[in-house]
Amino acid sequence: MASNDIQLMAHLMRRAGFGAPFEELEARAAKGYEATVEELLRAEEKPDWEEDVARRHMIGGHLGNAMPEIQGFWMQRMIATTRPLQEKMTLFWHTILCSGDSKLDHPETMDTHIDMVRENALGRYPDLLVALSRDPAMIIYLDNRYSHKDSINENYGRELLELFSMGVGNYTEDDVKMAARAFTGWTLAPAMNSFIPYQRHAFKFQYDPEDHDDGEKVFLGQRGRFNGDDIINIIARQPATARFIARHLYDFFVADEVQVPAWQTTPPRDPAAVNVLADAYLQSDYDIRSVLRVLFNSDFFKDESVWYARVKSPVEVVVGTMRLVGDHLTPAPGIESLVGAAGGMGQILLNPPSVEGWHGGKEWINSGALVNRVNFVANRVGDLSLPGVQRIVERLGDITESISPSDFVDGCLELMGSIRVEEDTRLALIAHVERGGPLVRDTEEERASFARKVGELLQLIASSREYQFA
Amino acid sequence: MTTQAKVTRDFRYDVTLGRTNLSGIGFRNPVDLALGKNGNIYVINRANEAQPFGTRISWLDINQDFHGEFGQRGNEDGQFIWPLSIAVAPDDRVFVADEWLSRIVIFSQEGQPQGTWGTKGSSDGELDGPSGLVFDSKGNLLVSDGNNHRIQRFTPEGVLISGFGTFGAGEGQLNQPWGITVDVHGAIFVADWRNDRIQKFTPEGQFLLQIGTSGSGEGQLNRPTGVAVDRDGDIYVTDWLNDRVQVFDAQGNFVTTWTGDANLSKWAELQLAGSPDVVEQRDTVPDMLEMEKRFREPIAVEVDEENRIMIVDCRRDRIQVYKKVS
Amino acid sequence: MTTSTKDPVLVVIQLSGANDYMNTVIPYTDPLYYDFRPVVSIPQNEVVPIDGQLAFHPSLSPLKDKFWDTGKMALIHGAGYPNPNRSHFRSMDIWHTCEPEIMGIEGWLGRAIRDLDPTAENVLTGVNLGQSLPRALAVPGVPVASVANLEQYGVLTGIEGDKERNQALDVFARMYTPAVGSGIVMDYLAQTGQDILKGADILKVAPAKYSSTVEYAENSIAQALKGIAQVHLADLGTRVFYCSHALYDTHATQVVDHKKLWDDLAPAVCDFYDDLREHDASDNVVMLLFTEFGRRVRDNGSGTDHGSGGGSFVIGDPIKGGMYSEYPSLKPEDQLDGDLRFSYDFRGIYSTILERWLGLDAKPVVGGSFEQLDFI
Repeated sequence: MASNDIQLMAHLMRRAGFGAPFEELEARAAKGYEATVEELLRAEEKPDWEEDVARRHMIGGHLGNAMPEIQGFWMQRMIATTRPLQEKMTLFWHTILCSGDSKLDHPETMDTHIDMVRENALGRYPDLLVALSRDPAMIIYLDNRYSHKDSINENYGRELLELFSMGVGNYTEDDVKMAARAFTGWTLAPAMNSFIPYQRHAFKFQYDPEDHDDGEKVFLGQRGRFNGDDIINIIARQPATARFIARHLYDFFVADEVQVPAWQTTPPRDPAAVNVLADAYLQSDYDIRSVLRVLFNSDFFKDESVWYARVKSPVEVVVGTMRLVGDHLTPAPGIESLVGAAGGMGQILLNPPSVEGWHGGKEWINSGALVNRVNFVANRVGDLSLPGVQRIVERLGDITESISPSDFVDGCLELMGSIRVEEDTRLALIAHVERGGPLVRDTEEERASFARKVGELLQLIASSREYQFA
Repeated sequence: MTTQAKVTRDFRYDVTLGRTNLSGIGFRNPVDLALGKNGNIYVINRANEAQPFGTRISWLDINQDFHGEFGQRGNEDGQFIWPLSIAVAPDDRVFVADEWLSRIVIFSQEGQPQGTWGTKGSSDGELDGPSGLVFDSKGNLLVSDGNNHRIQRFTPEGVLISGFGTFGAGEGQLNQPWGITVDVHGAIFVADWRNDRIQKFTPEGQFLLQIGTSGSGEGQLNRPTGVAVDRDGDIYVTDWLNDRVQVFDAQGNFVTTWTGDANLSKWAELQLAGSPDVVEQRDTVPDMLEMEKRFREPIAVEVDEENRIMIVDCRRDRIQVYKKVS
Repeated sequence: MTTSTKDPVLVVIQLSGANDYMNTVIPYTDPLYYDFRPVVSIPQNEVVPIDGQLAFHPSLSPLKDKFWDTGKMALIHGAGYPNPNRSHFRSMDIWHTCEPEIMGIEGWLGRAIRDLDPTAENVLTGVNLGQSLPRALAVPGVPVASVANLEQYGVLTGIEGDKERNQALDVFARMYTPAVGSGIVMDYLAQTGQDILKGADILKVAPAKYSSTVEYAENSIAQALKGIAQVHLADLGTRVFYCSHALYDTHATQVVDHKKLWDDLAPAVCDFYDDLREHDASDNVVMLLFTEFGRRVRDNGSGTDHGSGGGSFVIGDPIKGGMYSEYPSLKPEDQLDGDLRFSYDFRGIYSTILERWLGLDAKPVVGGSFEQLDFI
């Protein structure tokens, strides 16, 4: 029953957004695939969510003074966003250009960091790296404030090369030192980070020319009195950086790759695709939006072999579910439990386990996390009072007068976002529906029972292995 | 410390009350205050839902003697989910508006629960996101009915008396109104939040005057949340997203701006005494005292009988008090 | 199960939010204590002395009677680590991962569980009583059951009606049957799903098999310890139990709140051991109580703010009771930024328990060699 257009649109929205209810898929499919890609890419042309209203109801959430406040505010923003790709890219960079509050102990600075990332999420990569290098959160997280002219701290210089741009094996230890030297003097103005007596004050970037090593440096074969900006400009144009970013984008948007530390020894899943993306990066003056345009319009992205080839991250599970069932689209109590739900599945927003971010793919899954994933989604899609679930029940009721168990299962899969499952799974679901007796809905009682059966089937679909994938 | 206003007024910064704390002495995301008899000050702490025990009403006085706290997060009697506004009735009872449950929760002067009223909805007499409370001279309660874009007047028992305002940006229209107050003549002032202005109405709700336009310049407003009027008719507005308070005269002419003058409160001093490293760190920040003065999202304001202007400095968990000397 | 009831078992209770050690084990004869704590102190006539210098908070009386006086409770004063961090998150991470310098990923107990059951034969070698897994137990590939409620553990708990839920679980089992050619991750998911069903089936019997004359209180820590007792007594081979008690972050109204916390915790621990003793199952259980840091020496007029230099407790039949390490000095010149100075590296406590109780090599688990104590 699903048209190919809608299935492809569902794939696009699972990746470029947080999934979408069936009505949205229909509307977008009617608009066309390329037009939708363009609309997602030009995020800033869409009116933003109503941040002032969110701040009114989530008092203290914006640039908050406590972790739950900023976590809740971002979670709300992801659920409510009118610019799904911008938010998805913010999440993407958050998993790579990592910073976390357990080291910062300064929620407001963590939140400012995410705002900076969002603003640069779809722009030129070197611009993002320059902003990142001046970002107080990063200066704290990777110790650049302790890197001085006469005693460098290599932490930021190293991770900039290893984790944020080129990847291991493409630079020398000397390059690390040179980069670290170039970023000396990129520090913070003195600030108060105790929350007593009146809450913390924001950190501010400060360039201290006195503490900057202005000497000549040889970096990646080039010689000069490089400052941090020069280093970033050199890094940005390296083919290694192009490949590294391309592979990250492939991993996040197309199909799960092996974990990053294995990239040096394991070739990409689809080397040709990574090359296409790397070329797009180099040819567009390092513009991420241009790379994504190529990615979403490419055959390797649209190909059915990569549908469901990524395990959803916990945040995708939570946000996607809420958008599907139409709950929490505006601020309401309970956002904290959604943040906690993602945490229970292994992803504490704004607090990654280390500078390597979260290990995704298969590593999202363990018994505790899977229990939490299944129950979280099942409890919501089984709640017949939620508007998104009600719409599914209504749409299903409209299909035909009498509905066979297999049509019923196919209909539920379709309305949950054009989901495809393996035939064994489908047969298990059909067998279950058959066991439940006829799907009639002539009387009030039968209609209530029909609705219950829908809720139950949605729960089972949510608990399937296939549903764990995007 | 002294702000010489353009007109012939002399305002002085007086004192700061509060400090960060989730219970006991201190505030957490305070959103409103109310003044009762005998110098009682009641402060709503919104806190956040991850720390629900921080959601409460603090009861203190201007000397920072702490008299207790009451109310908690929940939907039972004497509880609230999103408390946003507080007012003391002529009979000394304390009324709190809960913008999530869309109801009014009542406490005795000592904090004993005394019932609730209010139903969520948009019909006459129903509420949706009540965001401001004030008692008029007859002892009836004016409620800023935020998401219904109107003002309603109730008896203290919750019987509807009258109402005015519709959604819009024209004169007399409202867009998510927040703070509300009345002056000595009974005129009603409303912080017309999403229209970035203050509107003045007759006691019957006829439009009289509007103050402010969108912006951050002198006399402009960015989502004003609270409004208070003193005996002389001067108007104080918490200019929320501009992180400042603006003062206007009775005709709506700009008088002055405050960006904050806080210093260490009695409670803050107590806290710092146990944290020598924090004190030491403060000394290393060159503009510490200057930064510490500033408002961050000031959200509500009240004037007492001694012409003290008390401003709830939400994101700094304190109340800054100014005084009109002449 | 391959283990017997008499294998050594460790129960860890995390006191979340930083327990005020100075008001738990009180230097009641030191005038400085009362000088620094004008508001938040326990009057000399109310404390429960354990010697001429130190006394328990009155709410610890049950622990004193049952464990201290019988020589089964060890106090480790001043447990901490160099360069104390006063952020709850970070400091808790350090206690969980044993990595004060870098951001660690693996939890020390997760590593211990891996060493106890290297082939992950028993999905219940480690059991956490709580909603989500603390980092202390988290190591990729090491299964640990996080159980909020024993009766309700498992998937699809939201489906109403026993018959309906059982039918749903049948479908779940069928959907999680590995099929040829469906891919590595699908197979891994199938295995994980089957582990969950297996774990739930095993855990389900624990409350059913359980009977006891001990009546636990209704509060959360008592119920968590009851759950631990049920699993332990069901003989499922669990070697490491974990639960948390909150919230010790007593910035304000500490006198009341701190008392309430220990009024819940102390009797719960006593009930737990009474329960085990009633079933002759206590002699192989050691309990560790820890917190992420201590609190300021000086009170803030209502509570105490974040400090360092806390203290830990180890309880159990095999424990050699007494005081270990040195109680930090309150003298202003000995304090560290207004805190008690730590006197003993917490990784030594872990090492002692790992080597002398669980029989493991501590070095790789805690990341080095640390001075061990003789409480075991």
